[in-house]
Amino acid sequence: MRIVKRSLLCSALFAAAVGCPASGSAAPVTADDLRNADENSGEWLLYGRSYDNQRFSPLDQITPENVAKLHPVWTLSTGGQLGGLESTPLSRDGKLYFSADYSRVFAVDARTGVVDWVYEPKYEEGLNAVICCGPVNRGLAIAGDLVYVGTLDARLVALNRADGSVAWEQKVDDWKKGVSITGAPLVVGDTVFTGTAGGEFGVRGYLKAFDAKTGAPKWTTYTVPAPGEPGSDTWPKDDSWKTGGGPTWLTGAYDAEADTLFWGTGNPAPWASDTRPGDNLYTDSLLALDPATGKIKWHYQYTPNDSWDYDGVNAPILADVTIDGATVKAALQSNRNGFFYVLDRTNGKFVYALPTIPDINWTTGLDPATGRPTPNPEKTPTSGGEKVTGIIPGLEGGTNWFPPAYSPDLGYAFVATNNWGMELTAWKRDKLKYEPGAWYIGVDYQMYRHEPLTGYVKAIDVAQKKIAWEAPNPLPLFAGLLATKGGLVFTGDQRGYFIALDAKTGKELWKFQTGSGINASPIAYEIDGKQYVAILSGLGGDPSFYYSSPKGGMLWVFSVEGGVEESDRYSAAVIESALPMKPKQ
Amino acid sequence: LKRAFLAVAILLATAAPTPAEDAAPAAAEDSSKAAVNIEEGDRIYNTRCVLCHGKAGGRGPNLFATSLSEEQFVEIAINGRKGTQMPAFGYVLSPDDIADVYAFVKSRESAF
Repeated sequence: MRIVKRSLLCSALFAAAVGCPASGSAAPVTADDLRNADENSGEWLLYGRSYDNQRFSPLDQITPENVAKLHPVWTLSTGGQLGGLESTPLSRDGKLYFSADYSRVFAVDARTGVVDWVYEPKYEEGLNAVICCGPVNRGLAIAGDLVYVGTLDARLVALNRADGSVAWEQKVDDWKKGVSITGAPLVVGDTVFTGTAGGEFGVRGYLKAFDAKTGAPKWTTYTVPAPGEPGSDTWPKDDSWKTGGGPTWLTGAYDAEADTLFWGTGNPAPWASDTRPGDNLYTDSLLALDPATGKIKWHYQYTPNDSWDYDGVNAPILADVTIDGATVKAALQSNRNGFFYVLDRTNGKFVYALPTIPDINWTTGLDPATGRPTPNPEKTPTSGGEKVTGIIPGLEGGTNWFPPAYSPDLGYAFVATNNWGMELTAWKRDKLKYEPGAWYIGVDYQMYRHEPLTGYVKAIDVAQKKIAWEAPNPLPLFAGLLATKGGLVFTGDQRGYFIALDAKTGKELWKFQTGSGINASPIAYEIDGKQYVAILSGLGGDPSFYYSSPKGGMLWVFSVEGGVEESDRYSAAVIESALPMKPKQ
Repeated sequence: LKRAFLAVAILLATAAPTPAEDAAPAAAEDSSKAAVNIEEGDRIYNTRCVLCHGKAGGRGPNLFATSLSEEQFVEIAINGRKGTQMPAFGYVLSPDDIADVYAFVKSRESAF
């Protein structure tokens, strides 16, 4: 681990001798701050802005009328190995905290981008050979005086917000098995939760809770039950549960009123469903849990006995909506399997589902009462069987991990979707064997585009159960969305454009070329009455499997007010050493 | 077994890759060398390589059209390629494993 500090004022020696004040007098982030994050218009304290994951900023300085004046006010290079940026920054007390590739963490001045500190985790050799989808990280949590990050080698690390030093760290799992952490942790009260990735490596998924102050483990809830546990009857009576998948690689949601934690789970392993007859609970599911104990209150499984890599891991948006004249405390989820789900979050009951893409064919239809899909045998590969072609959607979804947004003003959920398909050939069983740290999917796959326009931003009118508008894009989309009170939707695309759409109509009102593909999620924040919008740009992750474009690593910050912020991007300490000032002789 | 010695030498080397011509004659004369196993190369390719290199190229280059010699191929797979996203597989695969992959990619035009 290496920490690069801007100032030496608060050196370890100095801190030990006289103590260190919190940098910038940053106030601790309290449990109430997080619980009421939706009412804190100027800051962005949680991965999904608020526990309900609405990613709706109450800021309204930037509007459809003035968005044409939006311009960069500062940028910052994240340097490093340009492994791709997928993070959602956080803002607090005039600072931005964000993660970059390899789980590096930056703390910077939110007005100028001047770096306070950078945390760089060190990894053992060989890690890159056992990570699935690029060395990405999707975000951080902050609570108290700490910043939390998960690492690619499956550690959970708490950093002191003042200087980036490590307060504590916990080994969550053995990375050599293919387990990594790429999602943002979530803090509720005095507990920090993290999921892990590894569904393609045959992990047995789980969600873990730790004491937020000390890192002491609190509980582990497995997403695949052991024999005899509830749900174990949905697995064959063999050892398949031990490598059954169900990873928890994104971030959950929290309903404070019900004191319920929500967390999604990923695909079962290996991919061919005939290797594990049964529904395979709790893979591809939404889990509602007691945050104190990890006990599962209820579950909803989107894709039982999945054959298509349709992770159900995307966190839901929690929103109270009126449907058919009744108020529903809903959980909204746009799924890899191509459907947008509306569930009753008080009990996990299915309300309705809406196709977000055309020509879904992995299922012949969903039960209108329960949402349970009827699998289409013509689009289901069998072990050692023929290649199955033309499956829609392709394994990337529908909607992959990138987080949607929700406008309570309009009742619209804004989701990014992709129209694509795939072919799958499931291996003969004797070709497939589990090896820790090796790919354990047991299929050959190929993704396909079907038409020149692949990606779409879509506005779903939740009450009306229909798509209100859609904005197409030539390349598949992999960026998150931001909705604002000002009536805008922000997102990015793989061409490199940061885009503002009219939230009511989907009309593109503004765009800016950031220099590399965008796979991250925008935020809005406010300082001294000035609204900023920030986005990370840098091709990486899954999109880099499909396109070649310039790598990048930049944080871009925009405003409609003022000009370019005055600031520097050099190290005074280095220049004083390497190029000392000396009077002419 | 000769490959193992070669790989150790390569792992220890931090400068330029070992010239292929230095090793090739010795390897060719090595009677203890295990016979390549294309079937095993198929399995390894599809559990370790396919994600980036795809059916016939993707994020990484098309290995089924490689012009690398076996020794160059093994060296790159063992040590990775600096400045690219090619990781060092020497920590999880043996030189014999990689030779099996080489035999597999030279035996056909695509993974499947």
